Amino acid sequence: MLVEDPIVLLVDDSEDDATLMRIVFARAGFVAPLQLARNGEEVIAYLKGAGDYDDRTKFPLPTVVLLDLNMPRKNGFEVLAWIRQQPELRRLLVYILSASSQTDDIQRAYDLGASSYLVKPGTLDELTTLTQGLLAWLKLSHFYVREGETSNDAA
Amino acid sequence: MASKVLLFTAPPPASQPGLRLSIVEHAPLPMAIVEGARHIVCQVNAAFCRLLNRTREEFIGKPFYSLLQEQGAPGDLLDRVYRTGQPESHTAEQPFERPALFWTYTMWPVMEQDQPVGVMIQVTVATESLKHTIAMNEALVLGSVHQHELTAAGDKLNALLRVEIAERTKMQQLLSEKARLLDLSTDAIVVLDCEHKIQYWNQGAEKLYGWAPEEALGKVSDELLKTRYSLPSEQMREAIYQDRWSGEITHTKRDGQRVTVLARKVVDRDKQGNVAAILENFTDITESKKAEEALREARTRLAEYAGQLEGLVTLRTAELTASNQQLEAIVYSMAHDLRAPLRAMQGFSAMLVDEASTALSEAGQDYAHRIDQSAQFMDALLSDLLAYTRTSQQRIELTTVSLEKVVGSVLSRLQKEIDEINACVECSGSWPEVRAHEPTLIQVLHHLAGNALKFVRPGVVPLVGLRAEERAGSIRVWVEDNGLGIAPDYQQQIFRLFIRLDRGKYPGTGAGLAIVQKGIERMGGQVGVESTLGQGSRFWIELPQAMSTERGEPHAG
Repeated sequence: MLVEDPIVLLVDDSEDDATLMRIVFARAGFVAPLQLARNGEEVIAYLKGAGDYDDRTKFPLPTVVLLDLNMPRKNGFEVLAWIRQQPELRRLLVYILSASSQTDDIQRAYDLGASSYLVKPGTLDELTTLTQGLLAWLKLSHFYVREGETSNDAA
Repeated sequence: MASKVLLFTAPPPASQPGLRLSIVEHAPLPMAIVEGARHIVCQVNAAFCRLLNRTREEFIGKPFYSLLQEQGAPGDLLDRVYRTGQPESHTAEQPFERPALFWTYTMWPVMEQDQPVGVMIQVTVATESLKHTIAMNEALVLGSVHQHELTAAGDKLNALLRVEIAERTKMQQLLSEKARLLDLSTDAIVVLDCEHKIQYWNQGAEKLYGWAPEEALGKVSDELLKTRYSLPSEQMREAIYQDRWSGEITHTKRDGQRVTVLARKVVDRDKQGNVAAILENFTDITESKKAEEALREARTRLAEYAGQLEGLVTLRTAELTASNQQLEAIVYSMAHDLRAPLRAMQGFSAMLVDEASTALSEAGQDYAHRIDQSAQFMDALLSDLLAYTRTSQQRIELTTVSLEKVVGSVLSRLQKEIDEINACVECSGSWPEVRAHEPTLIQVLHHLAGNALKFVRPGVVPLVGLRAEERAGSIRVWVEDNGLGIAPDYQQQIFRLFIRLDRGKYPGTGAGLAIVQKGIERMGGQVGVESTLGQGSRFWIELPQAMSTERGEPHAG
């Protein structure tokens, strides 16, 4: 099904990057607020709906996860591997958004089941271009929706 | 007596005939003079008349021979003297006389104008005991006539003897000189007889071994010197009897010290092939032997050191390569990590310009703008640094790459830029295949062609030429432009990281050519530039030509 207002969960340990991202997402026209997790443990808790994240209206399951690789505690690869091991999450879109453009990282990410790999742009202009493109792309894409769950536009 | 002179029937001799007649007349010995071929007597003296018991008149005018036939006068002798003009002498035993009597006839030719005209005859009477004395006297008399000839012959002989003596003296000197030289030789020179007993022992031998000649002579050489051969002694004897022999042996000196010598032996044989003498020549090589040993040892040690050094170099190189790789990894991760705060700086300063411009003074906006620009440039630097370290760190696999495809790919990436500046790009000739890593080659040519488009004087339409050239086993790709050109001093410098000759006038970080060089180096190629300032540059890269057998590489699946 098509999604009108995709929900994005950004996983990034950098406060600055997250703040910039939030502003740029709003500028690009995202309706749903950017959801945020600051490290690997947080994103796993978010996806499980555990602890602080048990309120699904406040912390809805995302349309796509934008996952940084280089993070403390659990890094992006570990998070990605965990997600793909969860039966209900194995079809979740996970886009890597990393500063690394090393072939090794890219290959490893795809091997672990990444849906896409984006390199963090260096300037605000490029970041704006990226988020605009991302929104347009997500609006054109069809997504798998799990049984018994309602997507936000169906509500 | 003058009247007797008149008795000559023949004309008197032209040269001093008077003197001759007078000699004969007064001579105490019997004498006569005969004339002509028939030997007619023209003069006899008183002694002659007494000897034959006849009167002078009985002789004169008669042939000499007929008168003295009974006395054994030698007629043929008279003929010979008259014919040859040479004086002669003859002794004849008188028949019927006892004890024996000998008459010795001595005859001289009488010469007139170099022609014999007669013969002067003298007779000496002698008993047997006197015969030899007389003969001697006669010989002396005759000899005196030949004296000058003998003197001449003697002089000649003397001269010959002098020459011979001089030669012998010279030879003698030469021989003694040679003998002295043999002694001067620092080599030991020893002559042995057939029983190997020492016959000659020079000063060199004395000096080397310590025995004086009188101690050494007569001793058996090998026993005295305690010779140790490399072959068994018996075998050696056989060996040296065959021919000349030379080799290394050891001897023991008088003081017991051992010496290594280079020996040369020559056997001298007589006509029957038996050993007549053996010449031995020994050179002390103990020192050179030691030196040789030391040298060999030093060489071995040197080889060991060289090996150790080589190992060390290999180790250090490996360490250096490892640390270089570590360093590049650090540079990579640093460049990577530095980009994060930079993104924030750039993002927020840009945000400041965009959203808070009304709240900022003009100066404040300018500051924010400068922060934004600097952050952007620094990000470009870090980005290029990452590209550079990636080029040097990434795995490179060489395959057969189509230059045509690569050039097409590069040009399509640059198409937007080419259109914007209305540049003219010319690709001429054929594009062979090369051994390369395709992504790296694309990156390299992208930088070169990008530079060719970028570095032109304002208002000049960029003309860029791309062509390939086959060289021995390799392909050279030229990227030519009509741009600024590079002064010779900077033609090497430009390949270093972050070198920008025209800072501020043209965009970029100065990493492009460093990436080009690193990429080409990783692919085992070469890169260079030919340029004249103000007239453009011709950059080239050279890569190995792809082997024809590689064209049909199997495709997977």
